Order: sequence, then C-alpha cells, then structure tokens
Amino acid sequence: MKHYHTILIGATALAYPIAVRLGGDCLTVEPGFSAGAEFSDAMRAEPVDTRALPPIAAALAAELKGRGILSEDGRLHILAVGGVLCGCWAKCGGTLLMGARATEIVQTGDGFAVTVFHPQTGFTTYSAARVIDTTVRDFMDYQPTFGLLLARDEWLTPFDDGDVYLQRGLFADEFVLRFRVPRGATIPEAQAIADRWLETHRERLGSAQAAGIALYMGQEFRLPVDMVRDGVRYLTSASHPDLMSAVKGGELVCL
Amino acid sequence: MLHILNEGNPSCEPYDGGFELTCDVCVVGLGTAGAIAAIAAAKRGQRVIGVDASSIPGGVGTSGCVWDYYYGAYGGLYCEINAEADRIVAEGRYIHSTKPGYKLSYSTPVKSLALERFFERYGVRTIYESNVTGVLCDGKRVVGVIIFDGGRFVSIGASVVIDGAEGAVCHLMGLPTLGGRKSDGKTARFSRTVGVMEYKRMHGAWAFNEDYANTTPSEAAAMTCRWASSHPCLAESYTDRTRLYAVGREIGLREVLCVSCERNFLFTDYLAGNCPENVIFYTFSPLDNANPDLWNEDEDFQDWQFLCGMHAYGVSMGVCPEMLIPRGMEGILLAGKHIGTGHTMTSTIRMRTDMEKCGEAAGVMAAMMCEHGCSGLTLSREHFDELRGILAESGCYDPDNDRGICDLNLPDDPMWKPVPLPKTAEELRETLGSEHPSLGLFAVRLGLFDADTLAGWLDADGLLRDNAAVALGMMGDRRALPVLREILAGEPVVHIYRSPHKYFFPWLETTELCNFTKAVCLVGRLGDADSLERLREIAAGDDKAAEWAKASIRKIEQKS
Repeated sequence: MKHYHTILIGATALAYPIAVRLGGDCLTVEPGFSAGAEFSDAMRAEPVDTRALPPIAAALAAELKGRGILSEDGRLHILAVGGVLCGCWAKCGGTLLMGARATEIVQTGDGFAVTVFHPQTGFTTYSAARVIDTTVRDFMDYQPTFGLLLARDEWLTPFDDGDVYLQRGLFADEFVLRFRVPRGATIPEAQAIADRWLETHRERLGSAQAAGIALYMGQEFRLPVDMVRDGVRYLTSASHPDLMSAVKGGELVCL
Repeated sequence: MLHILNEGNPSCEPYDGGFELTCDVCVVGLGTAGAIAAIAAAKRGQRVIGVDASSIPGGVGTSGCVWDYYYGAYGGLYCEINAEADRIVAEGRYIHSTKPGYKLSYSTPVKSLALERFFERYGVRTIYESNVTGVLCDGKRVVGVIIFDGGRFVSIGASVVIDGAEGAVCHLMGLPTLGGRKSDGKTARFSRTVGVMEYKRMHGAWAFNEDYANTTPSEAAAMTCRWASSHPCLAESYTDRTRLYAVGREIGLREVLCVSCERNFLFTDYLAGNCPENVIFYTFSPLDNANPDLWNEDEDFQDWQFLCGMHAYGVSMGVCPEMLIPRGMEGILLAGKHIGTGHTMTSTIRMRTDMEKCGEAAGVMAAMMCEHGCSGLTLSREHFDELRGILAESGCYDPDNDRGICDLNLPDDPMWKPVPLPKTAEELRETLGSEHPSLGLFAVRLGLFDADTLAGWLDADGLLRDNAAVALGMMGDRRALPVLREILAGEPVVHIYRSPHKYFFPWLETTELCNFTKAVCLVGRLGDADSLERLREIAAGDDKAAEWAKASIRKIEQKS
C-alpha cells in the first residue's frame, strides 16, 4: 500500500498552496479534469482583493494579472482561471489524480486508509498520516448557486433580486447571472430554472444572450469551513467568499 | 458475481447484495452516443436509467465544447433532438454557434437543454457525477452495475447495460480490446477544446495534444494539466476580443481502445472488401491522421494516407449489430467509439451524426432485446429485418448513406458525392499520369489491377513512370526498385494540388505529391539493401523524409 503523508481531496484553489507547501509527499484526488473548478467551472466571478497577499497567492495573482485575467480593481475573467491553476498544479510537485474519487476513508492506528477509484485502475488503497478534504460535502450548510454566462454589447447594471443576481466579469460584455437553487438540484435542473427565468425576464437583460452554463454548482457559505470530522480535516475551498480568499486561506492555514 | 478492478487487475467476487434500483436498460455514459441510446430505448417504452460522470449530458459534444457537425452520414433520431435545439436557438436566449455557410453546431447550453427535454419527455432517469465502479454478472450475462455517486455506492439491476462510457464498463470486466497501432500501441492524440467567439458566433478552438490511452492515471493527470495550460486552452493574454466563452471539461479523446466484439471490422477488412452485409447504419468520415509520425503507423494506413494520398477523401463504413456486442458476452451493448473497429477504422465512427446513430442503434437493440427476451446475437439473427425497419423509420438506416469513397473537396448537397475509381487500364494510365493520382493508386491498392499492367509503364515519362513505380512498390513488387532508386538519387520534387472546388477546411485544400518521400518509404518495405547508403544521407536531415528514412533503414536491417 503506497503511503503519502497527506492526501488532499479536490484540486481546488485552496488545496493548491497546501500542495505547494507539502511538496512531493502529497496525493491530490480530483473527481473532474480541471483545477479550481469550484470557482472557474462554477463561474464564481466574485471580485477579489489582491492587497497584502502571502507569497503563493501573490504569485498566482501576478500571473493572472499578467495574462489579463485579473484586473487592477479585482475583477476576474473567471473561465481562464482553471487553465492557470492547472499549469500551477503541473509544477507544484506531488501526485495528482484526475477523474478519480475517494470512495472510502477509514481511520487506522497511525492515520488513514483511503480507497480511491479511478476508471483506468479501479480501486487503489493508500495510507496517509493526514487527510484534508477541500471539497463541498452534503452535511455542510450552504446555498447552492448556478451560473449562466451572458454576453452583451451594452452595460448591464448588477442587481440582486434574492433568487437571482448579476455579477460583472472582467470584460465589458462579460456577466454571470447567478441563481440560488434548491439543495439537491442537478446542473440540468438548475439550467431549466435559469432558462425559465430567461424566458420571462427578457426585458431585464435587453440584448444579452447566454453563452454558456456552469458545469459545476457554486455554493454560498456563511463562513469559511475549517472543521474536523471523523479525523478528516475539512477546509472547504468553495466556502471562501472569492477565489483569492480561498488561495490565501490555503496558504495561511495552520497544518 | 461482481467484477471490479483492484490496482488495475480484474477481480471477481460473489455478490448477494440485491439491487437498490432496477430498470430495463441502464446506459452508462450519457455522451454523444449514450444520450441518444437512452432516449431511443425509452422511446420504445423501456425503463431507462442513465449514469454519467459529468454534470450534464452530451459528453464531448456539450461539456467538451466540440459543438460542430462536420462530416458524418445524415439521418436518425438525433434530428428530432436537433430540431428541439433549433427551436431553443430560435427563441433568441442563447448565442448561436453555427457559422453562416458552415454545418450545424450547437453550443453547450443549447444541446444539453434539448437532450434533457427528451429525457424528461420519455422518462429517462439520470444520475450525474457518478462513476461505474463494478459490473454484476450471472456467468457471461451482465445483469447490472454498481456506481459511486460521490457519497455512496448504488447497485442498479438491468436487463441490458449499454456501455456508452468509451468502454469503461467492459474495462472493469477485463474484456479484451483491439489495441492501438502495431508498432507501439499508441492511439490518436486527444484534444482539449475551448469556446471562443468569431463573427458573433461561438466555436471551438483546439490543438492536437498527446496519446492518452497508454498513460498511467498520474501521467494522464499531468498531461491534462499541461495541455489545459497551453494554447489554445490558456492564452498568453486575454482581451475582450480573445476572451473565452467556454472551457471544455471533458477530454476530447479521438480514439479509445476498441472492445473486441462478435464482429470486428478492421481497416484490413475494408481493404479486402470483407464488409458487413447486415448493416444497420452507415458512417461517413475521412480516416483521421491525428498522429504526426505516420512512419510509425500501421502499413495499411500508411498506404491510404501517404502512399495513395487519400486524406482528402471520406469513406462510408457499414456497421452491423455484431460490432456492438462484446465477444462472448450477453446483456451488454456498446455505443460509441469503442465498438469493434480497431485503431484505423475507429476514426470512421467518431463524427457526431455517426456516434448519435450508433447510440440510436444500441438503444433500439437494447429495447428489442427486452421486448423479445433474447440476446443481441439472437436479435441480429432472428429479428434483423424488424431492427433495420425501425432504424429506417427514423433515417438512421439509409442505404443512400453508403457513399463508397467521396472527395471531401466537392460541395455536398446534402451528402458528399461518390467518386469512381479507375476501372480500365486506360483510365488508370490517365490518373497515374496526372498530378492527382490518388484514386488510381488506391484502385491498385485494392487489387483492381495486376502488376504487369503497371510494370509496362516503368519505361514511360514523368509522373506516369514515377506513380506506376509507387503503385508497384506498394504491391510489394521489386520491379519498382530501379525507378524508385532513381527517384531517391534525385532531389525531392513536391507537387501541390490545389482543389478547384469549394472546400470547408484548409487541410483539404492542398495535397503534396512527393514521390521522393514515397520512394524512401517503399525501398524500406522492399528491403532494398542497395538503397541503404542513400537512405543514411537522407536520414541525416531534420524533415519528414529523414524520419521515413530512419524507419526504412530499421526495416532493411531487420530483414537482413
């Protein structure tokens, strides 16, 4: 049984600086095929604060700015963030598995036995001294949100109607319409809700049209999650208010 | 018994846990083919459960940002779903992705919404963000699957399981596959696609990446990250003109390992004319050369792509039911690129309309297997006419889709036009004497002409002599050698053929007629030791001819 000092669940924005800090003796298990999906694929375009960032977060912010993905006033071209984070993961050391899921985490005498399923190899069990789960779990308290990318030639005033709110992206015609949806809704169910809203609220959006949908559900949390349950530490990346807060959170957390 | 993989090794253990869910047809993988399979089976009144690892249906065609229909044979159930997509687009809420004058294209939200509406209409139950982790069998008969939904395992019992997940279900059972290319097992390179905007329409931008099938999970993840952070997925900088409108979450695999089926239709079968007769649908596509090192590809594909220069031609492939049935198994069908075709021929199934037809065929077969209470093989033998009749009603089966070979440069209306191969020696002579010898060379490759006819032209002038030598060499006839050696002794001469016809894609515009490089290849195949010195001179270069020369030197040295 291969041993890692730390197993991270989720190649998330928060997990990235932890993986950098831990270096090679770290396995990250990511169910999707991208990094930072909880922000990028979820189209969470909340503005970020890049003042007083610790080194890893500051370097990420510098790269985002250098590529025109982050503006000086903190607005993001959120779709491009995942590519940058993938590039960061490729260089950070440690082992990454994508398209993989942790199916069982069992506390043992000196740590954990973590069983991971990957479509190519099936089940593999690893031992670890520590497990940190950076993903969202059903037992957590949050409001799911679904994002719809809009493109429009003219300015749209951001609004918040309770169930629906508009976020501004980095570019002049880039907006994300966010819908607060019921717990347990799938992406297709959320898309149907969004489509019905679009049909009945055309006058709010003028000439704006939907370009894309979030392929990952977003979440609104009251506070960032940092808790231990059955020995596993939960540091939920999506529970942070924005991308750079999550990265900063992962960099500053006491391990 | 429960079939799983443990650290890559097939394992089998008793299972007496029952089924939490039951259905008639369980479709694992709701991608381009699987989504249509689910709808087709449900439309025939079967209870269908569909499972997918992604968060939406449609696979590479939606969340992978491969939105366009370019080649492919027309007709089938997918037309109804596309009509729904057209209605959605016409309502004006979603940005168009079809460029004027181009073929159809539906963006991620449009196609996924259309598919979901059909799932709802016909009662397909869907479970997303879940992986199949085990297969339940009663002997050789598949009776269900186990999935992991992110939190727990769920067992699903089914009369028929459709593997629409690129062979993932079959892989868990350790079923044999047909492999990649013979030299090193590689498969076609994958791509990662992003959505960009041009002329107020969205379209996908992509680049060729690497072989995905022959990597370990950690290597695959490293490769995925590498390509996700490279052009075109990540630009050096973004402006409002170059920004992204979508990022493909699915890896765009051009080729997966094909499952060995009750009937495997390989490219060698196609060349030999050993084609299925009990066809249930036709496909149409060029043979995709996604790997740049053609000198390492299988020789029959080298013949097609390089020696005959057929890259600008498409072929029709007839698919029979047995190509969808894994060999020796019951209760399971395939829907997608992994049917019984093999490394070269698999590229003929990968077009959207053809994948969707494959899904429809699998879905109808599954429904009929439930209706008749029989296996797939029995269905094919005893209920074939009924099966084909059902598929003909939707247009999935259409004998007019058997187009033979078509010139992809010719305008299509609505399908590409078949081109005839030379039939007489005079027609062959005219073709080989021109700058467009492809169809003549291919006619020779199919064995339509004897070697003596070609040998008689070795004393002719110019292109006729050279092309006749290439044709003879391709047949393995050493009478070609004097001319081939003479071509090698000279300088490379490249003829550029520019199509006079309307074309859709730039890679079809030109073709190189380079008998020099063909001669480099053929002297190697003929084991001509007298050419070694010249080959070593050519191999010292840094162009494609040098790579061909190195491959030929290896062949000659192995033969000696």
